[in-house]
Amino acid sequence: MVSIKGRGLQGTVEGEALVLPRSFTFFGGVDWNTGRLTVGDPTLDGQSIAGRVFVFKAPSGGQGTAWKIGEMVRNGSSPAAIVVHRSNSVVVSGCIMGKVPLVADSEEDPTEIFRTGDILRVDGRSGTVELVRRADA
Amino acid sequence: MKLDEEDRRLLRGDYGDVAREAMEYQVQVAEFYGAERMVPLAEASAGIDFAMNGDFGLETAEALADRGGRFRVFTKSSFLATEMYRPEHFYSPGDLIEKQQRYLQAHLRMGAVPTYSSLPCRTPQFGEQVSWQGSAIVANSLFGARCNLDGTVGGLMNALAGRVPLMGVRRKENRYGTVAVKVEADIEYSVDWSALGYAVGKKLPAPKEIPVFLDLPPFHGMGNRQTFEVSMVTLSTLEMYHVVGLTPEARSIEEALPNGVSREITVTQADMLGSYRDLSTPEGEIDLVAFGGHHIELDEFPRILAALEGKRVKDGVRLWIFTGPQYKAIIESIGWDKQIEAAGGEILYGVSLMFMSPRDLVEKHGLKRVVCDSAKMVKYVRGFGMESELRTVERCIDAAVTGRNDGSPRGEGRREW
Repeated sequence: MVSIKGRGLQGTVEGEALVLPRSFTFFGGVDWNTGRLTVGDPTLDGQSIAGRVFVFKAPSGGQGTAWKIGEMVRNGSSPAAIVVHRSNSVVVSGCIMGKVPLVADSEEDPTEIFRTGDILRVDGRSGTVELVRRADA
Repeated sequence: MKLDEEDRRLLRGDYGDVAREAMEYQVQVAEFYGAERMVPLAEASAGIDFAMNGDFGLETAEALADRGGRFRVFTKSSFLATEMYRPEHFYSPGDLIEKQQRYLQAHLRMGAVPTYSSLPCRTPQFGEQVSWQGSAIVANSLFGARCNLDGTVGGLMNALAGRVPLMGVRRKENRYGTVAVKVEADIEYSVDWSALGYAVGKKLPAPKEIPVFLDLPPFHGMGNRQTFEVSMVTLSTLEMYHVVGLTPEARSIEEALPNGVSREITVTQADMLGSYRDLSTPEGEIDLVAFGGHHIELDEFPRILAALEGKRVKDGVRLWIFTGPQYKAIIESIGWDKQIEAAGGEILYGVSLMFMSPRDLVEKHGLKRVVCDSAKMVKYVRGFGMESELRTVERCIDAAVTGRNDGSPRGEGRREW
C-alpha cells in the first residue's frame, strides 16, 4: 500500500487529491470564496481545492495564510485536508484555527507520490496519508 | 514537554478563558513540532488589516475582545486596509472603512499599540524573543532578535498568551547558516536589490534554509535593505539570513557556518535580470505607479523626488507612494508632500496596495496595469487580477510621465528579452 508518514494535526478525512507540485500561497494563490486556484498556470487555474485533499510542496510568503484557511472553512471553500511536504507554522496555525486535518514534513515528497484525482485517506492524528485508489484505477 | 508554573497558571485559566485558549493553542503547536518548553516574549505584533485577515479575522478579534482577551505583552498592530487620512479619496468603500475601524477598535480594547506600518518602531535587543509575524526576517537578521515566522493567527495567539514554544530559530543551534550564497550580479539600481532578493527566494523555496551571503556589496541604506528582505520572502519562507561581516550573528564566516561550507549556490547577473523578466508585463498603457512593497523609508524619498524633478505625472495616471504615518511630520516639515503633489503624485499612509482590495481597484476603478519598485508588490497584486511590472525608480517615473511601460524596466533602451 502506498502511504507516507509525517507529522499531523486534527482528525481523519478521505477525499480526492488535487496536487500542486510547487510552493503555494493562500494569499493570492486562491479565490477564498470559491476555492478556485489563481496560481498563474492555465492548466491549474480555475480548478477548485474546495473539499479536496490539497497536496502541495511548501507554503510561500503570505503571513495572512492562516486567516485565509479559517475564512475558507467559514465560506465552505476550504480543502478537506492539507498535505504539504515542508510545512511552516503559518500553515500549522491555520489548520489548528480552522480544524483542518494536516499531514506535513514526511520524508517522501507527497507531490511526487500522489496524483490529482487519487483518493487519499488523511489521518491528522497519526500523521499518515494512505492511497485508497489511484486516479486512473 | 515541560510546563512551568506560569504555563500551568495560563492553562488553568488563572488569567481568563482567552489566555487559556491562547496557551492551549501554543501547546498544540509545541506538540506538533516536538518543542520541549515555552519561553516568554519581549514583544509581539498582531495584524489588523481587514483585506488580509477578512471577516473571519475581524469577527475572531471582536469575540476575543468581548470575552475579556488582553495582550499579555507589548503588542503592535501594523497595516490597515484603508488609507489613514483620506480613505474615500483612495477608493475604499464605506463598509470596508467601517470594518477596518471595528478591527482597530477590537485590538485597542485588547491593549494593542498601533503603528500602522511594518517599519520597525521599537528596536528589539539582541537575543530577545519576539513575535513579528511577516517581519521575522528583519527581527532575526537586522536586530539579532529571535523570531519564528508564525503568521497572523500565530501572532495573535502569541500576543494573547505572551509565551511561545521554544523551537525553530528561537534556539541558537538552529540559527546557523545552511547554504552559502555567492552573488555575481552588479547592483546598479536600488530596485536591483528587490530583483536580487526575489531571485534568492526563488532558488531557496524549501523552508528552514538560512542563506549566508559571503560577498554581498554594501546595502547603502535601510530602504535597499528592506526591499531586499521583503523580496526574498516573496517566493520563500526564509526566516533569517546572514551577511558575513554585517549581520549580528555573522561577524565571521566561521560564526555563521561553524561546520564549514557544505553547500553553495551562486546568484548570477542572469538570475537577477531574470527577476525583471518574470516580473514584467507587455508594453502598453499603464494606470498606476506604486512605490513601496515595504513602507518607503526616509532614505528612499530623495531618490523618488530626484527622478520626479521637473516632471509631471500624465493625466489619468496615478502615482502612489506608500509609507508609515510615523514619517508624516518629517515629510511635511521638509515639504516632500507638496513636491510630490505638485508633480501629480500622492502619499498614502498606513496602508499597502496589496491590502487595498486590488480586485476592486481593477474592476471598479480601472487601475489594472501597474508598475512598481518592489518584487513583492508586483507578485502579490497579480493574484488579484492586476497586470504588474517591476521597474527601477527612474523607469517607474518614466512610466508615470508617459503613461506607458515601454522600454527596458531597468536602465535605458529596449527590452532585453
